[in-house]
Amino acid sequence: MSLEFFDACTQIGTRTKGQPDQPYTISEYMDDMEHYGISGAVVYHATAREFDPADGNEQLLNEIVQRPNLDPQWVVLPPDTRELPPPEELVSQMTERRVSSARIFPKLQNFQANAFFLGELLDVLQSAQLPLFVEFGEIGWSDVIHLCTEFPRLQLVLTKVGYRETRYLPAILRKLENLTLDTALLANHGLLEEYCAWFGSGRFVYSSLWPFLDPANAIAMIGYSALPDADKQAIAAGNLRKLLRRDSDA
Amino acid sequence: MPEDSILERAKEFEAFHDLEIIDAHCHVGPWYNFHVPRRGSIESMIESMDRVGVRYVCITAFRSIGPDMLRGNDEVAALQKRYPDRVLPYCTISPNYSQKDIQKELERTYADGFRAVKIHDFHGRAYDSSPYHVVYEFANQFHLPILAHTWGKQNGSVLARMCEKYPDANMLFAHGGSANREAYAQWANDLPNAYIDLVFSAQPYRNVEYFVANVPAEKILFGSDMPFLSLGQQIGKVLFARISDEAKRKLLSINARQLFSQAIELAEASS
Repeated sequence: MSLEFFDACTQIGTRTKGQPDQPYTISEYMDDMEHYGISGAVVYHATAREFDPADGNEQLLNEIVQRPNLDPQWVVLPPDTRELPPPEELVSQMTERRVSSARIFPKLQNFQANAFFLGELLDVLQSAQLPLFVEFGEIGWSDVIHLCTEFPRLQLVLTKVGYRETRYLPAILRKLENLTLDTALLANHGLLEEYCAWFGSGRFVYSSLWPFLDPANAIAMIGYSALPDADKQAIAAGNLRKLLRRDSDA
Repeated sequence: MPEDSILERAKEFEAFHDLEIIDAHCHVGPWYNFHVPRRGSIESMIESMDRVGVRYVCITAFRSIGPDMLRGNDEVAALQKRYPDRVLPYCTISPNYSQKDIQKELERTYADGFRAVKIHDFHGRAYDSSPYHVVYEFANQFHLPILAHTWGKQNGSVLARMCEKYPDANMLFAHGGSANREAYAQWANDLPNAYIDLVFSAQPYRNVEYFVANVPAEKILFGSDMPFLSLGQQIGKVLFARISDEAKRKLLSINARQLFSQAIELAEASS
């Protein structure tokens, strides 16, 4: 059977320290989408990550205009720095401009991912039902637990969780129901099947981590898994659509 | 057959039984610092092999890469006898045994039908330390392949020197592209007995394409690291790669069939 893939994590734009053969343009990503059979994607901009969120977020919208299959994601900061509009205004702008999720880089951008620094913003995000994405390497388990318990209606999507985290993950998934994981580096033999049996397939989303990794990694892991076809399709695309409230697009 | 047939079949997640795929880098069993589902059993691996269409896995026991070389090799021997048409055994050597015991283990497992050796510097010794020379001498004498864990120049450079010293032992550099990608390409190009596998949990963008463009396709083998890693996750990079079907066949089957010819001959005679 073929599957439809909706990619939870892609970055576009030129980077401070790129590999010479790594792509960075929208058209290069669109070409790969066709090659690998990916129909849509959540995208943030490298400038928002590596230079300035306000500038990069705006650049993202300019670059993906008229690309309805690309879901813009904004990088956000602690509101007290006033580098971005106040939380209510920021989230209102996101909703108006079809930005369906937010992302933080607390380690790289030098702040702590907790209620003290992000509380007012996370309150507004969870009220607006906009999920928050963060890489595991940017945050760590203590902050994941803190955010999910302090903000129980916030949907936290944790990306780039590696295969060596399996002594943490069962308790994390059982106790934090508002946590979703991407499957790009969750590469363990048989783990997806085991966790879907324990926690349900609704906790996982496909991501490519383009342009850093090979999009085929997680595509083939999901496609060749022992899961029922409905679970495969949910992980490949359906779960992300639900998180982004794009169900009607399917 | 059209040029993109493997890609198109991969998009349907078909099993590739017709390709006689050989996975050159597998293990078996549980591990100490993370959970391995179903205790990394060979049966769970064979289920994955059947879904993807893999004929043989070349296996080394995690127990041998951990503290117990002898029991680990015994486990592998038992699994090879239980599944002779699916399992090709590696004799794993720990340099933390005496050189006398290492020689004895190489001879014991050779007599039991092992025709490949695995070394891993997780055991804490450099690849040019004296116990490893016992392994290289043996492999050189019997023209055996040696699968060696490498991570860029850090330990690959030492192994490359051993390739020159032992030209009749074929060295399979594991984890090509994990670091210092250009160095792997250089070793595979410069050393007739150097091969690379492509195991990597976080497979970099177009890593397969890089190696096929820069190294003779005959020097590249597919491996998955199962049951650490998912066979599907690891084989995707080859099945979906922007390379010819002919190159994919070499990476997935033809090259390993040549490198492990002694082991396959024994397996096919016994099954």
